[in-house]
Amino acid sequence: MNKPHDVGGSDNLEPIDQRDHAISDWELHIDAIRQVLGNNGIINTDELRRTIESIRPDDYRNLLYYERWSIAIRTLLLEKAILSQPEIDLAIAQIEGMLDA
Amino acid sequence: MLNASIFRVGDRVRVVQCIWGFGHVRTPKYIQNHVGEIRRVHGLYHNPESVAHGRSGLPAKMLYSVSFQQSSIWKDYSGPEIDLLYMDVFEHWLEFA
Repeated sequence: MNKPHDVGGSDNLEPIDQRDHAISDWELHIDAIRQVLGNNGIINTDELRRTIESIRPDDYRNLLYYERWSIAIRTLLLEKAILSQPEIDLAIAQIEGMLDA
Repeated sequence: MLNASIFRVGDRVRVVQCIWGFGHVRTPKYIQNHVGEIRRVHGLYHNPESVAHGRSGLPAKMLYSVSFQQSSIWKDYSGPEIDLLYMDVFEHWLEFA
């Protein structure tokens, strides 16, 4: 079974860009949220791996590292009924409203 | 003996092929179907493939350090024949070779 992350030994892949790059504020936020959820026993590393590995391969390849984390965290919080999709939709709409104000 | 390891140091083992398509798959594809040698018995650890679903990870699974010949894994490997790759592999991923 092909998993998007499991590319060791695959042919025809672009070389990895190993240059350092700046970390954005939103990436730090995602990292912090993951740590808080982990430290409070709400999600664990293997759950995060499972949900990242379950992202559709076409999506996975086009997502940034922390975008994958954020999708995985959302999936887990929905699974565990800590957040609901309407709550997430409402929060997004509120933020969009702030940006458009 | 309870919790005894099936494999012992020096045993030749084959990594089984993953035929299921869900969940957290612990063992990478490039090592599946390859034959290696048990180098060390690490002991019992929570099963990460169970923990990945919010479960207990119990019963714990025996974990081994397994060595593989680099030249048997990578095509066109140009290093010496004695080069080895070591990977930690859980018992349920292994069978006698």
